[in-house]
Amino acid sequence: MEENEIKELFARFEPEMAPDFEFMNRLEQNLASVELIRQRSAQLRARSRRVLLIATCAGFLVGVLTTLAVPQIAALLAALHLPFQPLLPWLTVAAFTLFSSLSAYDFMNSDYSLL
Amino acid sequence: MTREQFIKHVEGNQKAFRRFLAALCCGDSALADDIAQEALIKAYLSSDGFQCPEKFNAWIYRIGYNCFLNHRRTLRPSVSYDQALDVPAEGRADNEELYAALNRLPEKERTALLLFYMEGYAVKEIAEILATSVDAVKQLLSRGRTHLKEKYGRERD
Repeated sequence: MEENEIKELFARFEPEMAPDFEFMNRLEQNLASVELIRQRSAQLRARSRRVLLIATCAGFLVGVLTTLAVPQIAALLAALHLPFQPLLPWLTVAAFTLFSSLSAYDFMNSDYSLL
Repeated sequence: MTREQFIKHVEGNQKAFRRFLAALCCGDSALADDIAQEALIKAYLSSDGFQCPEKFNAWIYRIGYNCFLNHRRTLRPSVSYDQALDVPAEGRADNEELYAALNRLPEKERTALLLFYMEGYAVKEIAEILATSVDAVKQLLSRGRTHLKEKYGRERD
């Protein structure tokens, strides 16, 4: 078998394949699906960034408000005679901040969210 | 690259690409088309970062070759490729001897031969597609020619 024969052998090679239009239709459908998934992922990423921003803002706002109310909280806790008195008001501020952030995050991800 | 541009690029070259994969899959054109679809989707997903339009075809062939290797790797634990090829496939009968001979060649030799003789790629381009050196491709072609002569001759006898 000579070099030319190998060339001829491959030149003659014509496998039976599905029609071109069928292959291209399938490819176009696949690419359209890929595009749809890409768009949907981009939307989800943008939405999740907005949700995080809102949750952070809610936490910050509640944190500032509860910090302003620290003297009142301290007075209330002192009346209850609980241990660790100096720390308790700040722990309360932290708990409120965390709770409001998480609640805002959950609410924004729920069906009631307007996002 | 937009979807329309990508489709336009592919449309003119898909036949040769599918023919190459069909030969690589030893005549299983349905499998070759599946691998071609997978390769083209992968290419589309990374086409934004692709900078050299003149090397588009070689790039597609490289992805196709890698998809073929991945497919072989997933097939290996349960079924041997020879066994898989025993299943009758559309259009295999006409080129039975060639497929049988190709099937007995190592993947890299088979790919180098197909790219060189069927697609007309230069040795340097084949080296890029196979991610190897020019000397290695020359060796692959030399060994591949010898093996193909032996195996094809045996199939015909």
